[in-house]
Amino acid sequence: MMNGRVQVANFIWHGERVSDEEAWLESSDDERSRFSGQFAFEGADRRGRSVLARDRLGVNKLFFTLAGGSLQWSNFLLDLRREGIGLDQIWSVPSGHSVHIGETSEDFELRKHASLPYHQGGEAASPEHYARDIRAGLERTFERIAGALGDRPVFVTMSGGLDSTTIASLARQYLPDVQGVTFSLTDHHDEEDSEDARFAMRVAEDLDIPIRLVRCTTESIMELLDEVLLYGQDYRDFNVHCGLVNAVLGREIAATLASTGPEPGNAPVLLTGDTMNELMADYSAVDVDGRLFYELPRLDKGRLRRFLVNGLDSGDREVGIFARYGLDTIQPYALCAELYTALPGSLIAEEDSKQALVKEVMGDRVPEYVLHRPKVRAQAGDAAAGQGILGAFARAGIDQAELTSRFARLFDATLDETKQLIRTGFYRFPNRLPGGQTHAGL
Amino acid sequence: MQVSEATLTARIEKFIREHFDVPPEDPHFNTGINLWEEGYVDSVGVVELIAFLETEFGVTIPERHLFSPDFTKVEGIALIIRELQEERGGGPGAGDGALGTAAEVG
Repeated sequence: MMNGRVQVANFIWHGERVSDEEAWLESSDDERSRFSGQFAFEGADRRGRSVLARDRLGVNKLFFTLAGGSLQWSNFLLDLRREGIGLDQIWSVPSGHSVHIGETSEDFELRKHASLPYHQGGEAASPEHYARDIRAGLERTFERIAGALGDRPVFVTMSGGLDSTTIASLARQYLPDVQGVTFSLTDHHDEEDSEDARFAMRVAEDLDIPIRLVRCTTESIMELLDEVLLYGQDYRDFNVHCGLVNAVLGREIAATLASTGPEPGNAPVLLTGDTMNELMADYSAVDVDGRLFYELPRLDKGRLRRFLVNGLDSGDREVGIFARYGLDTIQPYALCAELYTALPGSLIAEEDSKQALVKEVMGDRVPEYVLHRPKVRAQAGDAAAGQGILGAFARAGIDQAELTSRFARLFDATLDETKQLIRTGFYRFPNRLPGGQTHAGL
Repeated sequence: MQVSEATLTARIEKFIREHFDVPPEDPHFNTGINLWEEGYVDSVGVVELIAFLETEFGVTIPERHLFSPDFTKVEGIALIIRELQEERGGGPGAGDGALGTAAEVG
């Protein structure tokens, strides 16, 4: 019987130094706030209890169960389902928390070890001040990444937008072996590549980064849907569509590596621009043929940001999907998220807030044509309506209800069990009652 | 100032009816019904509901409540608000264990 399986790579730092799981486990509660990274692992605490810990944004996923009287855990729901564990008996370790489990179900504790400092209102510093902090923070982040990766080759997923262009530019500066990779959904030979792909190619040329364009068809996308539901660990359309882009890229990279063969111990790592949209609350609904997709809560951006960032707890549209193809992923923005949550609501409130910030942070290292490009969702790939994966799914009639049903079938779960897996962006986790009592329902 | 549980229930019910277009003549809706399973509040709406609760009642809903049975129905949510208001009045340290904090608003 499986006990536990952590297949997704952990990247852990203590301050600016590369660290590891053991150092985290051996540290005091106070010291743990100095750790950063993206991680999910199992170990033992000083009292000999099992510990399951997860990074502050929940970039890496971690599920567990005590069904059958023994603790089992994995990065993937699927592993636990294959052990015959019902979806309703599987819990998640919430982001920024550790779960401590002793010999009895009463010996259970949910501890918070990391949190994000949101701007608390009151007087704000100047935009230039925040930009300087972010610039310095991004540079420190890339120095840390460089220290952790050594000579490992790096792929950057590029869409020709602000977020990925910033990452590509910094990767080019700090890392020795960088390639870009981009995506275009093209069903016909004479069809022009997506706007995202065309911008990404142009950016790569300007940054002097070799780039690979991966073309796919609607048919080949649809073939990947089940994999994305299983390894993306989410049924919500915005994450499923996004996960499909990554599945196409991951499959292509893995196939290339299989044919050329990476050097042992020198497997490539993907860097992405993900999480920035959550940190800047830079999302909006998309209209396709009069139907609205990816609807958001009707809240001001300052308030919406908190829910979007919390919502990173659930969904595995990048790390899980790429791990399926044997690829490690790093999300640099997640590693310095505190720089962005420190921004006051007023600096993320406007349509062009992100453009203004990126210009201030990156100067002319992000080209003007990227700064002035209208925002395009990766799932659409084009400013014109009805394009990309979103358009293909809308035309095929694969809506949210179908995705939820398909997820439920794949995990052999009921619709109710499926819908109860995620609430307000969190995977289901055990309750902790006030006063330190526990109610794990285990 | 704390308000009675009945008043809390009524204010939450009023918000849900108005915000999620529950008609007054809906015979199915009541303060004990499961809002999520019965489709009155969807995944986007629950965030708007939390934002309302936090603004209206001056509390932060710790995420530990998100998966509690009480958080599925109006009268249960009123109980949670009442508990949080009492914790808030309990002096320093009250409410520890919350996953979120009131300051986490941009």
